Amino acid sequence: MSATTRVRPKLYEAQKLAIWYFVVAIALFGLQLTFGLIAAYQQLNPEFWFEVAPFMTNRTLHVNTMVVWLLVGLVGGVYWFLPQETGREVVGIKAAKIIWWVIVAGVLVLAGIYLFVQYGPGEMSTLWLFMEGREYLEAPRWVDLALVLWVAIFLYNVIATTLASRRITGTLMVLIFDLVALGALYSAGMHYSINLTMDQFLWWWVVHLWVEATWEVLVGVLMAWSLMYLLGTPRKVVETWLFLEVALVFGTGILGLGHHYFWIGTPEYWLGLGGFFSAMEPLPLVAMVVHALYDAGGHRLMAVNKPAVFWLITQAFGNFIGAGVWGFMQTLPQINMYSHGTQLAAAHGHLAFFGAYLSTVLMLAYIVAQNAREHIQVPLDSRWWKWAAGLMIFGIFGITGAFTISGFTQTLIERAEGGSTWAAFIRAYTHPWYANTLGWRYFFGWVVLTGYLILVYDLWTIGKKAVTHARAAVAAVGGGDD
Amino acid sequence: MIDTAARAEMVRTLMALEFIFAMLPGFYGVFYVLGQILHRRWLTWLGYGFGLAQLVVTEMMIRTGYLDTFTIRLMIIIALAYLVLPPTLWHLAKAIHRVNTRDELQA
Repeated sequence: MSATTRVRPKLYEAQKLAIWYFVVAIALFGLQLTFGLIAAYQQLNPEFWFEVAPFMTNRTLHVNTMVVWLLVGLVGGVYWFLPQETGREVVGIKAAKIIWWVIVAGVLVLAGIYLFVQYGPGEMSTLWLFMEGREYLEAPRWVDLALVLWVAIFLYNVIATTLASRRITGTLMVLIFDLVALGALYSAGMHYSINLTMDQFLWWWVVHLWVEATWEVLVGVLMAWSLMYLLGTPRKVVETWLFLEVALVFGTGILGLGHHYFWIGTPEYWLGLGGFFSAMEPLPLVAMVVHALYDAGGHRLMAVNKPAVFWLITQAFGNFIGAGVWGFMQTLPQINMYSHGTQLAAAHGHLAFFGAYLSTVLMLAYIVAQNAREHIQVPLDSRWWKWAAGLMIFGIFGITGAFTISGFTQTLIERAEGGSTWAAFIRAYTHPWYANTLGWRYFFGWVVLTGYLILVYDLWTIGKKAVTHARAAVAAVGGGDD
Repeated sequence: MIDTAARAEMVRTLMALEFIFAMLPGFYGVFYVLGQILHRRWLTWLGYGFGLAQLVVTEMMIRTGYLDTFTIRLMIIIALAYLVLPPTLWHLAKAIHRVNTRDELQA
């Protein structure tokens, strides 16, 4: 065996469960792209499937599958690393397995409801059974409760395993506090009020604080473990940096929420508060770029898992560009007054989710792929992952560019110049800068989908040949350490 | 009273400047760190160039005359914060690694 090929220790039950998490996450990723592509086509041809699954339904499925598959990937990453971090099997693994299959069944039922029921009467029963009807948080109440139960069992797994192992590390402490916030903040979205301002006030806690704060910290923990695994970065270093990141993310991000409160009927002081802290929000993202370059640069990318290291670095840059630059561009109240709710928000959302979370989950998927298939761990590299990454990055920048141009058109023509009148709306939507970009985003959607298909092929095949060669080498020397 | 076409023009200019303003600290950080890792002084100086360019962009944003006093002060504070950020973070990263190596050797 070569120096970098080694026998992989037996997988824990939690790691076997994590493999299922990634299988489902990657499958849902494909569904997210499919629904997005259908929605993009429906903007070009609104009559397409209008009676079957209109744009509204496909957009809901596009956004909701994204939230679910990314969260599934992040939780899967914790189940993968937790036994390694604590040196033991996860406590309560049976409950973890049961709730996992409940969640999978729930997601399938929910998809069925979205596709075949779609809406209901304006009664509480609709809110509980079919759909809440609030953007991004369309899931009915029973799904909300299932999600909170899932996070509660997950939190129990993490706390009980940490206590049983008597090994409380800095990363585990951060993870435990973050998971408490993850469960609690999601439940804020269940608050229901007929006062739209109050409703939006708490709705943004989920959209901004749940996704942008607790997810970011969860990613920070997973990045810390991945840096130790992929590059051998010392624990003290990653933990010190993790504490710094958490302080910066929460320090700037919690009140950075204020940029969503500019125009929903909240007091005027949110303009100053939101403007100030939002402008500071790229700080931790610059810190991530510096740290990623410091650690990865020292190794000159000579890692045993090249695709994972690539996605690790892409995460730092993508997070900065998507969340930082595209967010900052429209964060000052003077600009935001005209740009909020335009397709600039969609541009920011697409690139930020790609950079911050998709890159993380794909990094984790390659770490799992290196260990899941065989009990020999081989260096991971192929030409296909480069194609997949290249096409997906090219595609997402194309989609973001298209949304940015159409968002500019809305901001300038419909809002700033036209004053949001009906005539201005028509003028902006028929302007070539808007109309042409509808075709571009559809085209780039296909580019991302092509990259996705190559990614699936690569995850399925990467390392197989190297494992075969390693086995042959082991057989040739008479068994070796296999 | 500003007319709507001029307002649209102003919004466009400010958005473009904000975009560049946010992008420059990233370039500054990347080139500064690459210069340090690869021991290439010109890369580090290029990084400083992006840092200074951010000050120029801040000045251009203020000169539009569209920002209120609070936002002008805010932009100046942020521009100065981003100016010192990459070297500070770099030295912090180095210090953390140095302390860790020292502790490992002592152990």
